[in-house]
Amino acid sequence: MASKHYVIVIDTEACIGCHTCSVACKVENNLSDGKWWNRTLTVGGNGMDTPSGIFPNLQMGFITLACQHCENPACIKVCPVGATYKDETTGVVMQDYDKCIGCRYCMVACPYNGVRQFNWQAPVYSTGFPVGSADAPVHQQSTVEKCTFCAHRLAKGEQPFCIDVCPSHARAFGDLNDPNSEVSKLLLRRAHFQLLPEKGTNPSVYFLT
Amino acid sequence: MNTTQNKTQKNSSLAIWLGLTGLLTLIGIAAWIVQLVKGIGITNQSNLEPWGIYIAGFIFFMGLSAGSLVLAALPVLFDLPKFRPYAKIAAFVALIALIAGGLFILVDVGKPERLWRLVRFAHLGSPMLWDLLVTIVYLIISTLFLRRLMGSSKTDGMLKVLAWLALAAGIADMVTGFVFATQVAHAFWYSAVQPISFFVAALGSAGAIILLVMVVLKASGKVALDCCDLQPVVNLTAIALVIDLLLVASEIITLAFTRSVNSLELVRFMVASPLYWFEVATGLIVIVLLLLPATRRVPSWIAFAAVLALVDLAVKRFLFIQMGFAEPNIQYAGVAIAPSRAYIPSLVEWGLVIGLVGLFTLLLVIGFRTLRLSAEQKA
Repeated sequence: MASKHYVIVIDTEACIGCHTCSVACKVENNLSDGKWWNRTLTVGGNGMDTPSGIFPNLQMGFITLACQHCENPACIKVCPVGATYKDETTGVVMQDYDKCIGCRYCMVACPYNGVRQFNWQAPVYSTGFPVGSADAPVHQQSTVEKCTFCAHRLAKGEQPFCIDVCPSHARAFGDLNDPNSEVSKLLLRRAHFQLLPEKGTNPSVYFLT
Repeated sequence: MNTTQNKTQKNSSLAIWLGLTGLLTLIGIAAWIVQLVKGIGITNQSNLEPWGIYIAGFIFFMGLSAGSLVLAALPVLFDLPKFRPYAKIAAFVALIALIAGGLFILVDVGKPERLWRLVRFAHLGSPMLWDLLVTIVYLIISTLFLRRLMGSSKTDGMLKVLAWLALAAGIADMVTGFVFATQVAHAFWYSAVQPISFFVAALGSAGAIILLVMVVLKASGKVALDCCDLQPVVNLTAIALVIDLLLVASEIITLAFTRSVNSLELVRFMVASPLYWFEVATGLIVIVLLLLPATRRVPSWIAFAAVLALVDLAVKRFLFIQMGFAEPNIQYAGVAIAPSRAYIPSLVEWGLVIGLVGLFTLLLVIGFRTLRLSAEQKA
């Protein structure tokens, strides 16, 4: 068992759907054009930022979707070369770009469609220069990549960037194995859900309701 | 017609076969070069549909190989001298189909130069690695079996052992089914019926290719066939296609009956797809042609039914991949990470598929020309 079990807890009541965490992730990790490791999705409506229901009974809600860092990850089981693996000390699901052969079986296996993304082309940046953290991962053509809980920041004792930037403090990060952590307390106090629990993956991302 | 004329005619028909299949192979090579230079983004696969027609081609040819191994093993195991002529041909088809199937994986992976890692860093828990191991076993067994078959016309102990191994390897085609049937993320694939369905389709496609090859070889005078010699393979192919259609019906009934939102969407997608009805219709036509007394003994009808059966089962594989991705588990609106249109293979993908089918046929033609695959019949 991992000595730590890092989780992200997202308060859907506080989330305003501003996409700040998504954009911050894109910048911090120097994601190339078209890549979104963390997406802000509109729940209910037909398009982005549209409400569900019929006027005047309208509702609008959001979830943010990134790698769920599952306790029982479908991706790790299928990778034929062990390029995707669990970091034993943090419980974070990692991807080794140097090992990945680009077969995309992990993308197929993951029930949370779209959180794993493939570099179909050599990475292109509309800025023309790299952005974000100097120790952000180096992206390779024809490999699969995804959210790492900002592993490069964790290594420096920092939190994932999406937590720091949220303007409505809707996101919390911490160790679920520590009963005194903020995330443990939040999950004790508040009703919550995980995405697609029926798939048996046991995600490390929780949504407060 | 004197013999010289006959020979010239045969040589010119061989030249046409070689020229045509060679040209198709060249198209495939050109397409692969384009893909290697431009990157795999030149295909229409996307983050939401990461597998496409290459994987469909892989399943199809793996099935062809496995089914052919089973067909090759049966006459040896059960001492059926009448079918011995099929055995060598089927074992040869198995070997060539395996090569074509393997090449589909080679062109599908993003980093083919890293494929050696499958050996160095093999993760034995992955169904893909099970499949790779089975493939290697196929390759060894079908090569040894073919060599032994060509070496002697008698059934000796060693040949029997190899035939049992070939039969077991053929049945292990179900392992390719496990690559998909173990995937909880895809309602259509996550079903115990899939590995069985793979094996049935494998037998059907192998029966069809053997029928087609035998009719063509008979026309070229390479094998001597009496009117009814093909009937057992005709029956086997028909039975495989009947079971295949029953499994298709079983799939749609179980999906529709669960009435979960995802399953119902899948059923709707299926019945709205022209390809699905094409699969059902061609399957039915093949069954009728292979069972109707008026057509089941006529070589030209048999060849037509065989081609139709191969098309039917190839379409089935394409649909299988498409259906797997038809209903994303999470469908909330957000930024686009994939084109919104449905997956249709790009020009380069078609080029590679045509090329690999061409290469498969080219190798068959060369094999029938140079190896003594049908010498037994002539003697």
